[in-house]
Parts: sequence; C-alpha cells; structure tokens
Amino acid sequence: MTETATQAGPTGREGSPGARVELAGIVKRYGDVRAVDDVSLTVEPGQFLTLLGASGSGKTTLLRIVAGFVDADEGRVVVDGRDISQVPVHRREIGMVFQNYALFPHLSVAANVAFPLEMRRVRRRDRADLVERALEAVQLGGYGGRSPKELSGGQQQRVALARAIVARPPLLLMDEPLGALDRRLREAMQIEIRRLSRELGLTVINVTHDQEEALTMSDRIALLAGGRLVQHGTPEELYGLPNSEVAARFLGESNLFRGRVERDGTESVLALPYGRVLVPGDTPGEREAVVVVRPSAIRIRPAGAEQSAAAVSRMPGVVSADIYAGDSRKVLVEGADGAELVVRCESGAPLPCSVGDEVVLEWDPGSCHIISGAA
Amino acid sequence: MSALSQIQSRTSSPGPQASPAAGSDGRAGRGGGPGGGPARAWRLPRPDFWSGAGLPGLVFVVAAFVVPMAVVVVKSLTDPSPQNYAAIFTSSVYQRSVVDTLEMALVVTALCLLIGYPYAYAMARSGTALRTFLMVALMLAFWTSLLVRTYAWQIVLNDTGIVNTALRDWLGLISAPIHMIRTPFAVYVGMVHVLLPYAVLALFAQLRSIDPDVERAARVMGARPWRVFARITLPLSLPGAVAGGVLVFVLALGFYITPQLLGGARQVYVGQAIMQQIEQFLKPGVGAAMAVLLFVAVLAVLAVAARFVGLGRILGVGMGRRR
Repeated sequence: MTETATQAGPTGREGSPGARVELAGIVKRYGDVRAVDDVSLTVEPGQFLTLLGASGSGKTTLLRIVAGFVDADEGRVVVDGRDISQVPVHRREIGMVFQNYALFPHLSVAANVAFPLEMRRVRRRDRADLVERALEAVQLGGYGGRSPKELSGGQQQRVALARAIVARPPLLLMDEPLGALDRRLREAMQIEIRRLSRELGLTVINVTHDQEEALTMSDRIALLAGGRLVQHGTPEELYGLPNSEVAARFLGESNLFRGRVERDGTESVLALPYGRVLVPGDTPGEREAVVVVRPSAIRIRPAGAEQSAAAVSRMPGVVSADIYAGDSRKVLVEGADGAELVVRCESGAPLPCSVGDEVVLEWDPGSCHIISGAA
Repeated sequence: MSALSQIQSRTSSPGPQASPAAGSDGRAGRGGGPGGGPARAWRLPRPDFWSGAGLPGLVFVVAAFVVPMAVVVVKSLTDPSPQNYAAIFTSSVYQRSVVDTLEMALVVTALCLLIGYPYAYAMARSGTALRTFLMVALMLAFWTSLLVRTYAWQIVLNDTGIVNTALRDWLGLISAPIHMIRTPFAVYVGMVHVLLPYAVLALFAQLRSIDPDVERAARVMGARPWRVFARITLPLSLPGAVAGGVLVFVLALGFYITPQLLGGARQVYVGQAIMQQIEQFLKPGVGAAMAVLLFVAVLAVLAVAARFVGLGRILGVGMGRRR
C-alpha cells in the first residue's frame, strides 16, 4: 500500500485517496481527569473535519491519539476498516502539520520535504521530482535549496504543509496549523489549505480553538468541551442549529434566554420577568427551553418609540457600550435582569440611541433558534 | 507582486536546488552565518545603571586575573630573558609533555562525551522525578571537593584498594593486584569523574532545546525510533557536544591536582611540568613561559570552536537557553 500511495502520484488509490477514519469510544484519562471522554465519530473519505474546542477540551489529545503519540485507555481508532490502535506511529502513514511547523532546522527545505519519501524508501531520482511538485503546490517552487531559518513564518508553514502531503498520505492531521500566523496570513492559508486538501482528496483532521477558522475550512465540525463531544455536524448546523448552550456560546456571538415555555393566547412565550420572548413553532406542554438569538438578528429601537406590530420578541435594556468595528458596529445592552446582550448593526446606518439610553431590542421569532430541555 | 514574479522565475529555471545535493548547499551556507554574529554581539551597549552595577565585578576580574596574568607574561620574558621560550621549544621533555597532555585531554574528552551523552539524553527525556535525581546525583560529585574525590579514587584504585580486593579476595578473578594507581588509566578515571558534569550539562541544555514536535514530526513521517535519533536528534545535539567537548578539553589541558595524585612518574602533564620548573628546577621564568603558552593554546581552541558553535554556548554551560 505504501508503494502505490507514494509512487502513483495524485490518484494513488481508487476513488477518493482519502481514508475513512472511525473513532470508537475513545477515552483517555490523566489521573482523575478524563481528557477525552467517550468520543465516537466518523470522518468520511475526503472530508475535512475540524476538532473545535477551548484549551483543555481534549481536542489536541484526541488528535495525538489518532497520530499515535498518545495511547487511548479505551476505544479504537479505525482507518479504512483497520484498527490501528496498536500500530506504531511510524507505520500509520499519516501526514501531519504542527503548530510551530516542526521543520528540521539542520536540513534544507528540499531535504525536509524529501524526509517522508526517504523514510518510505522512494527511489532517489523520483524524490527530487516529487519534492519540487509538492513545493510548487504550496507556491514555494525553487525554494528547495534554502534553509528553513531563512523563511518567514508563513513560508515555513507552507514547507511543513508540503512535507506533510508529499508522500500522499491518505490522512492529514493538523494541530493548530495557523495559530502562529498573523490574521491576514492565516486567512490566506485557510483558503490554500482547503484548496489543496480538496485537490488531493485527502481526509483531514484539523484542530483549532478558532471558531472562524473552523467555520471557514471544514466540511464537518466536532465541537468538544471537557473531553466530551458536544456536537458533530456541518458548519451550518453548528452555527444555525446549536444543540446546546455550550455550542451556542462557542460558535459566534449569541444571546441566550432561558425559561419555562408558557401559552400566551395563541403564542408560546418564555416566562421571564421582563420583555416578551416568543418561542416559535408548535410547542405543546410546559417545559424548559433556551432561545438563541444571534446579534445580527436584533434591531434597536428607542424606548419611547411606537412599538411595531404584534409578532416580534422584545427585550428592554440600557445601552452600555457602542463599539465600532469597521464593517459592523457592536452594541452592548444591559438587559433589565442585568445580563449583557450583544447587538450587531451595520456601521453605515446611524444608531438611534447613544450610550446610557433606554432602548427596546426587537427580533423576529423566526430568526431565533430553540434549544429545548437544555441543561 | 515582485515577490510573486520572483517565485515564478525560480520555478521556471532548471532547478538544481531540488536535487538531493541541495542539502549540502544549505548546510554550507549556514556555516558561514555565525561569522557575522559575533561582531554584533560584542558591540558594547551604551552605559546605563546595570553597567555601573557591574563595575565592582569588573574591578575584581581585572585585579584577580588580568594583573597576575600580566605579571606572568612579564616574568616569562624577563626572568632572565625571552630565551625561556626557546628553552621550551628545544626541550624534548617539554615536547613529550605536550603530546602526553594532548593525548590525555583528548581521551578524557572522548570518554566524557561517550558517557555523558546517554546520561544527558536520559535527563532530557525523563520525567521530573528522575531528572531531578539524575541532576542531583551529577551535581553531588560537582559539589564535593576536588581533593576529596581524588583521594577517594586513590583508595579505590590502590593495589590494596576496593577494586583489587574485590577482584582478588571476593571474586577470585585475579591472583595479583592490577596496577591502576599511578597510571594514565587512574588519571582518566579521576579526570572523567571531575569533568563529566560539564559535558553532561552542555549536552543536556542542547537536548532540551530541541522541540519535541520535531522528533514527533520525524516519527509520524515514517522514521523508526533509531532513525529519528540518527537523522534528527543526534545532528541537532552536536553543538552541545562541541560546546561540552571543548570545555572539557580546555579544562583537562591545565589540570594539576588529579594527574599529580593519580598519575605516574612517566607522564608529566603540562600543569605538572610548570610546577616542576618553578619548584624543583627553580626556573620560574620557564614555568611562566609554559603557562603563557598553555593559556594561548586554550584561547586558540576556544577561538576555533567559537567559529562553529559560538562562544556564548561554550561558556554559558548550565544556563540553558532562553526560549
């Protein structure tokens, strides 16, 4: 399998060259702490999965278990139907990009990129060609003779990427690959990595704490918190339909209202001491629910102004901050119960209020998302 | 835009850079790099509070080192005359001593590196508890008086010492004692014991500075453990080996007490030769000239080594590296 994967060029395998990765009931304990707590998920061939979570969520440990640097206490890592839990790191045929690039400082760029080929015993005369093609794929053609130290951070990360893909591994792991780069470079690299992984059809597992990166790059996101898998789905699902408060808070800014659902005439509302939060959809019976409202869905009205027609949610508050952010404007409003609410409006339009004013926030019930029975 | 066209022109040019030979190019280019460094490093900063605070130390260094050294240089030239140097260069005894000293220093350096490398590696890769134990075990020897340690080796290596007693009376492996004391062997043992910590600390600092992800990267790319060591860890730790080796070598060149107490009459190392000139032959001028030459030799070794690994790394042993 090594032979075909390394020598046959872009399509080493039939169909998608990417591997199918299955994590089944992975548990890793450090003392009493469960760093990874019963995580199961499947990555389809060619899929780009991002493990998203705050530090300490277990995402890096999980990636290291897949790579083989860390042994899981329970569970299996299955790649293309083969359980590789007991396979040593150097025989797993994985490409990997590290946060601090982890280039070999004593070797030239070409020798760095050639390293996986050398280890896989690719013939010497084929190596130079594959190396140059990999460098061209990351737009560093002709840089082979340089030392990694002569390159900028972005270039070093490109070399690391070329080194990770040169042997056409079916699975590419990335451990916060863009964390050390500045914002502009990061955005450019996001697009480039995505393009490259699509072109090569690689299965990618990427680790990040940057939600924007996760939303931009991924086919699927697995959100982790406290070692547990919180939600696994497409970026649209995670952003639009968070299944829990944790998910709603982690992905994007959000305003959460929690309460019991009550009937109010023909409508369902949350039982709150202030305001009126409609719970859209058919909601029979009384139960706990969390209503998630994204900041861009909210309109701000001065407190005294005439109220618009019936079917909108309303929440009174006092403007506490007005933050200009270029293409948008972030307004913080202290709700009547003291909670801070976030509103995003277009920066072009004039704000109908200033800091200290009493206002009413309004939004259409259709633009919010309900998490029912949330813990 | 210009950077982009640059890249493209590079791509289109027939690329010898991509051939495996490029690796050696890169290294050769790197070797020239540090040459530019020292000039910048040696430029003195503008005086401020801290350079004022360093003044007492500077005065002491001048008084305790530069002044006596100047006296020695003057003595070597005037007591009775610069002929002292001629006497050294024509004396076969002194030449023999230089050869013996170089041989001893080289053997001790090699032994320190061979024994020290695995020790430093274990220290660098072990958990906190084991690392602390290894460090304390190493430093205990370091903190014990040189004289005490050397006398202890006399007792251990004596004809009636612990080693011979064990081999003869307890194990019955030998019938007559092995002569170890007053041989180069005893000198090597004693010197390695004294100088090993310098080698270990230099290697340890270097090994610790290697990013563990670099070794992980090699593993994940298909390198078996021993290949990771041979291709990645060992080359990256070489500057530490050079630094530790130079330090041990330089210190070994001028050692006096240990060779004097453990060595035989046949090998007179430079340190002892200097003492002989002063105390036995009553020729302090010749002794001073020898000392000057030893000092120059040490500086020469340091200067050559500094071209490869930087002086700061050799002298900064044990400080670790700021990262």
